[in-house]
Amino acid sequence: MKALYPDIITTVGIIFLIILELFLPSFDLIGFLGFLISFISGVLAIKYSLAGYRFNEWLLDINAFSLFLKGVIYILTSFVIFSSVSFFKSKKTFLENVYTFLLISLGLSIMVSSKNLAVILSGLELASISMYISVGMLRDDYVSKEASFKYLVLGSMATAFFGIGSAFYIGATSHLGIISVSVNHNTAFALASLFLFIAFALKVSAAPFHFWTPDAYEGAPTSTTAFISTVPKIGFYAVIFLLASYIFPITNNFSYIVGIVGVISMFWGNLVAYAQNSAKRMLAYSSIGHAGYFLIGFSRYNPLSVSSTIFYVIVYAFATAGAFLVLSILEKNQSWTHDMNNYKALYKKSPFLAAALALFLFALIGIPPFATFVGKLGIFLGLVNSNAWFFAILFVIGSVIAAGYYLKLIVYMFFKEPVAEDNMSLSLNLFDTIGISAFLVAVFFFGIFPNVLFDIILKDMFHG
Amino acid sequence: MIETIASKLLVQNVSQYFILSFILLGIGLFGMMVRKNLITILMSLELALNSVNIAFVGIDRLNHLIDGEIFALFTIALAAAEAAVGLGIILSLFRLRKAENVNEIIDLKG
Repeated sequence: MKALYPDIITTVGIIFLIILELFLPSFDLIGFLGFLISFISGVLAIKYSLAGYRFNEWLLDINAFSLFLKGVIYILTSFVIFSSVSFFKSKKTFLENVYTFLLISLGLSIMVSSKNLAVILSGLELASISMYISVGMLRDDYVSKEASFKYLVLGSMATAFFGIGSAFYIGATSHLGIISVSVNHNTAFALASLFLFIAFALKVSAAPFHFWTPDAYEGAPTSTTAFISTVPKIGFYAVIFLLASYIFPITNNFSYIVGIVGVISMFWGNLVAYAQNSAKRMLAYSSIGHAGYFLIGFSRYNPLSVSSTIFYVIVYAFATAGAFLVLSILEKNQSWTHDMNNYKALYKKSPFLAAALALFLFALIGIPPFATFVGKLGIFLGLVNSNAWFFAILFVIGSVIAAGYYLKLIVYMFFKEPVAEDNMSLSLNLFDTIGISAFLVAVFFFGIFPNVLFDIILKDMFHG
Repeated sequence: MIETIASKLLVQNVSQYFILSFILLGIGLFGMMVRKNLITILMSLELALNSVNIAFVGIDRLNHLIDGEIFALFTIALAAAEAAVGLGIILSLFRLRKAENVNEIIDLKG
């Protein structure tokens, strides 16, 4: 029963915040309480995960691994809320932003705590519908609403695919639980795995299904982009891990479909990112490229590559959220448009922000001191171990291609002459500094001591 | 009398449920791609989501289960929530720019 406490605390907290907001509409208060609720739930979840609690009743199946994922989701949510309150205040967005973040994290937390497709769907949709709302949350801003509508249409298409996939699944197996099943060469089962995979490929923005991604990420308020591009990915890839362990291996050669979608996504995202003039869109395409890496990691059920993919998703979430949060701090300046030219000689205006963004971008390339390198290395070794040389080599080529556009932004920030008559001032308050530093420390720390995270993942992941 | 009419109205072959479900899903997805009006796109979306319910009911009749119908109830509730959010977004789009067609909302070039 104790394993349910983090979710109960968040649920009660959200209801409390909704009521409190009627009487005390203050961003500082709501933001601080939101941070506190989420942080407490996260720490509790990690604590219970280390104590090995589990709850396996009704339709829920909460084990140590899902408690660990919940903990990461809640703690990351609390960090993002902490460092985005000042952005929301400067943009005068709606106050609801704080608890839509909490609602998204609650939905993801429900999603990782069950192996039943109906419960997964309800958690997924709680998260997704809150995401559509939070994308359109920028007050009186047309682009934000347009992005929200596009995201809604394609996201709901994923829901329809998820539903039809579950229909095939129950048709082939007579139950809705994702557990070991024994069906041989069953067409309905193959279609079920295909549709479920398409639904999640749409949600994680893998390449043939990525069309909403750049628009939604560009139109959303930048701190919301920092949130929706990172935290939901942890939950989605946890479900893809379930599918990869129980459903994908049953159909012959299905792993090739996963791997090929991954390869297309990696090359499409990384190549189109070169053509972008806006740094925000460039990072959106970078997240399409990363969806490719993760899917390649799940294309073989090899313990090494699968566990390092989960590790990689978590540290990628820290690096990308940090990069988008730096962008959001820059955007508080009214004339900032995220065009590459705006970034010329950023280090002269704000050395801290330029250095932080550069470090996050180096982390996304996957350069050794950073944690993402460990994830990339693990996926590569796992693919080699399971003799998937084709995917392993393409994975390395794709990662090398990706380095160029991150370096392009770094060159703009450090080696280009500033644009003339440019007198914008960058304000940096204490909360921003603390938030960004926390993300930086996390990316460094897990890079130097990956075993802190990796041991927990390996201990719990395969004993669900 | 009523029972004979009811037995004639009931679908005899379960596969007909799936055919209907697929036709509706196809119409829904096709409508989302070709229709220009934003509200019509939302209607096509609802059609695609509701086709899932028919498939579940058919499977439950085939396998004598109840799980699928409960899943269908989940889907109905989700479709309602999605429609509410979608209409809200369309209203705010219209309020900000009088846009009601997809070829008017092309500021972002996906």
